[in-house]
Amino acid sequence: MELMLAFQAGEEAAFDEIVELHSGQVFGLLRRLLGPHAAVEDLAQESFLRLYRARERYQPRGKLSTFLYRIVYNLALNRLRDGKRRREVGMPSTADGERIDLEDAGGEAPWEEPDRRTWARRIEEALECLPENQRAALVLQHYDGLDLEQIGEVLGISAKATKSLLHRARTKLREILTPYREAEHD
Amino acid sequence: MTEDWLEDLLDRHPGEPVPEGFSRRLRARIEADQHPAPILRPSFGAWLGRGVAAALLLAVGFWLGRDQPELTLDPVDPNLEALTVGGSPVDADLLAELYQEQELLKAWDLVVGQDLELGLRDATTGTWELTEESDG
Repeated sequence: MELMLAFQAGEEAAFDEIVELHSGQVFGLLRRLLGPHAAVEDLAQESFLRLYRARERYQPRGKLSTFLYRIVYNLALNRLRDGKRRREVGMPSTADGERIDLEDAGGEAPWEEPDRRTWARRIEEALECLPENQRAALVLQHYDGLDLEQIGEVLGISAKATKSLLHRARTKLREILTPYREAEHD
Repeated sequence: MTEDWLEDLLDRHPGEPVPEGFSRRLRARIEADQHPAPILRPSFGAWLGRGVAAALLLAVGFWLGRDQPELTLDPVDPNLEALTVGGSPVDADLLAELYQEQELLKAWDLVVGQDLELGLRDATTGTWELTEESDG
């Protein structure tokens, strides 16, 4: 928050520091929200650009990261909806909003020992199977450590609704990833 | 694996590396956003200058062509002689009437030719038969 205040006061270097500090989180969030096929740099740039433009409007009430995540989430949501519209009119798109058959998508059987990259891909594809708000809630909690209130702030819902979203997200994710877990234990 | 195996599995996602040069590209985009290329709008002064230049060009053109002969012709030549037949002038209305009648005669020839062709056809097949009328 101090960095943003410094940036508001006219310190350009403070913005560079914000980018340095948060770009990893922004890229991670975008990748997990948009899936393994999406190009994320453009949206990451757009997110920081909007933060830059919001310099005057920024109110130091909450965490800067929550403010930034809200920007990222809204951009990602627009991208996902745009992708859905493209698919509806038959335009080619690599992202798939429908449930993915993980065995087909990965091109490998669940009993094969996956390396780190394969696991990353499986998780991204499993996350893609979740509705957008469930996916975002889970990612923000698990990877970014946001609490229910903060997640609710990013998604524009109450903490109670966030808790419910998280419960449904985990139930569905367990269902999708169970075959891989069992295969690993066999 | 711990009891909540899902959290352990999710931890296997390594995140997304920030591409090299991201900060530089972002800074360039911000610069472009904050200082967009100026849109070229012609000012009043520029339009005034163009108007004066066009007027000057026109004036020079007139000045250069001031002693040149006229390029236009009179619509009717006053020296043209009237059409005469046998020494007396022919009325224009009469000429027009003659041409009209000539056209009528040509059209009549065409109709007569078609009628004759029809008359030669066989009546049993539904075409006209040539009949001859006698005066009694």
